[in-house]
Amino acid sequence: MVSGTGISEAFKQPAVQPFPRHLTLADIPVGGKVLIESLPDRTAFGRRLMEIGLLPGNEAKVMGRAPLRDPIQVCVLGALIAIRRSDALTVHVSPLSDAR
Amino acid sequence: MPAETDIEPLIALAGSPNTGKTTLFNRLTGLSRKVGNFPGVTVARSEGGLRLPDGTSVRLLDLPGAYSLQALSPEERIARQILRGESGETRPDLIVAVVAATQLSRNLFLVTQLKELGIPVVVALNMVDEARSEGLQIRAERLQEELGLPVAPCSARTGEGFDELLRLIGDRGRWPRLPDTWQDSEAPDRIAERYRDIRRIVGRSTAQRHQVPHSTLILDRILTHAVAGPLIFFGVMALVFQSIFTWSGPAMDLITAGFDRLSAAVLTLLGEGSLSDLLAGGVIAGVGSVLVFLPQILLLFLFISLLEESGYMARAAYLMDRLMRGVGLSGKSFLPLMSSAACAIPGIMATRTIEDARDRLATILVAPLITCSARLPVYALIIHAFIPATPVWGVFDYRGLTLLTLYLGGITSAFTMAFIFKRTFLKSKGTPLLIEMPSYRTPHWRNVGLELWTHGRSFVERAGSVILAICILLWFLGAYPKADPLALRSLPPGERAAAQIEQSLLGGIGRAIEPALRPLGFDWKVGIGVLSSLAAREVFVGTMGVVYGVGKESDENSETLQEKFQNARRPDGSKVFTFPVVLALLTFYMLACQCAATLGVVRRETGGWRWPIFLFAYMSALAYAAAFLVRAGATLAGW
Repeated sequence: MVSGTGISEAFKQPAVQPFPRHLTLADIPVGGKVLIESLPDRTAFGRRLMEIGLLPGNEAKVMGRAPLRDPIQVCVLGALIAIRRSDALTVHVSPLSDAR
Repeated sequence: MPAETDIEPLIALAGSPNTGKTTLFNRLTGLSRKVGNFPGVTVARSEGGLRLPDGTSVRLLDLPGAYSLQALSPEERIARQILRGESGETRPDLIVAVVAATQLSRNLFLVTQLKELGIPVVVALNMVDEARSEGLQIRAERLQEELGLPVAPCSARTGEGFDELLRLIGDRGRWPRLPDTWQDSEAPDRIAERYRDIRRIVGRSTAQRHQVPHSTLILDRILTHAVAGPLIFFGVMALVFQSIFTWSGPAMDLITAGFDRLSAAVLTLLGEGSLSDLLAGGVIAGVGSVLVFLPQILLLFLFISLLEESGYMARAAYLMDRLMRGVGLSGKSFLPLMSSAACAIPGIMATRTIEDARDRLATILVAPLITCSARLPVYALIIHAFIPATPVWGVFDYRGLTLLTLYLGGITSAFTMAFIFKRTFLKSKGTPLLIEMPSYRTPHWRNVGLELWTHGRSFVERAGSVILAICILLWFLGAYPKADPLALRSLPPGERAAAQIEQSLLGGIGRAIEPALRPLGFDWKVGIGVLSSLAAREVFVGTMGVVYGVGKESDENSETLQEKFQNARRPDGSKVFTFPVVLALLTFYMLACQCAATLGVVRRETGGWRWPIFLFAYMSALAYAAAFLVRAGATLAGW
């Protein structure tokens, strides 16, 4: 018998664990501001994210999540963009504290 | 399609998605806009004419929206191929690069690439009115200086700044064409470098940074809320669905009645004869069977353009994405599939909002499996004749549950086939989902009106010709060769039409294919019904009326036809419509692509016969196999 918690754990974890585990865009709660650290710029989609403004050094803010927490709505360069959680997991970020 | 003889200069309108490029195109070209496809691909192509202030006419081509020349999608690839002269089409003489003043940094990315193509570029700085109302000031002359390109601040919605834009376009002869220096496969460093340039250019042209408007943030908090969002979306969908289903009814009845009256008038005017019969039964009935879909198409496109224009469509795709991903599609496929429940034709046309060509094709190929309103008359006839109204659990009865099963069966088969297609030959590669959500704005009447007009016109023109041809062909098959007039006269009037069909080529084909239909339990009369309803499934009811000699005016509620059905016997005296055969017939109509209009639209949307033929073949095979299994299963179960 497979235990129920084991299955739900497996769903929560990304298929490939980056090592060491970085903070990714998918980890940020709604309302959180981050600085983009790096993304998979060797893939076509990674380059596309850069082309629309999600490039290292830029700020991004997580604006919302669709039902089932996927996709994720992000604000970058004054635009609202939605990407899937699986893609957000490849974007490494560092949190920015609000100057409040 | 591009004509070789065109000597008018070609101007390409290029820009990223959500720059207001199409609104600008609509304002410049007005009703001269022609929509079609780029050859061999499911990418929409719009071209129009434009007269410049100095009197010269130019052609304006609306390129598909592109974030970058480094193409990810077929749309972007086409934009790049045309701009670089890699496609069969003529290379543009001038590029009008559309950028939204509210999204300056992101939109300038493509412009920095366009600059390297060697073709003169004019920048249309669109939405300056919106930027102003958000308190964003952009100094166009500084932008022009920093960018090294002529810039016309304008608003495609109000027409502000269009004189200057047209003047800049007219000046195009002043700039020479330079060599194309853009290098494909840009390294990440090059992308970052472009953004460094853009930061400098934008920093010197404006003091402010763009923010998402407050109203959009508030609306998104409600409309994309994890719980309220889907509820509101289903409310919107229910409204759309209901309107296509019911509001179009009176208009459709009016069209049907009008064409019936017209063919009756032709018959009385010309008298009985082959010519009047061809006109009334083939041409007029054929045109009528096409035009009857127009109210549904216009209504759906009214809703789609309102949803698209307001910015809500991107939110709907965002909300539905997780659900649709289960079958390998994205959130953008939801609305086209949902609206196919009214009619697959507007549903298929609505797939134009899906940018990913493979997702779009998969959606087109499964949309006709969703139970459409034209299946209802067939279902109603068969269910009323053979399914008892035995109550189940108080509120339901067998008839209602059968109908429900048929609807669910359609949805299940559509999702299953989408899953199979997306796992096999339509596997998406390298185009993960990216939904840009524009700020909410009130829809513009000009865009909505133009959408309705062009889509309505293109449906009637292109799809109409195919459907009409098939209807005339079927009429010929049913009307020739003529039965012996003397033999006909000896029959009672009600049976004359039946005798004619029996004698005709269609009757011959019906008998010829009987062995093929026997595993499903259909006799040759049902075979004729199936054949004649190839063009439109609801024709089945009328044909059955003719074949069983109840007269042409039978409809699904006609008692006599239902009685004839129940009493139909084979030559050996056994009943034709046993319960397993009835189930097989229902299953067949649930899955078969008995609709010439759908095939015509698929040909038009995919730019060739390949996909409509595939669609027809796979749906027919599926229908046949499923009907066979259902009959075999029901017989084994002893029903």
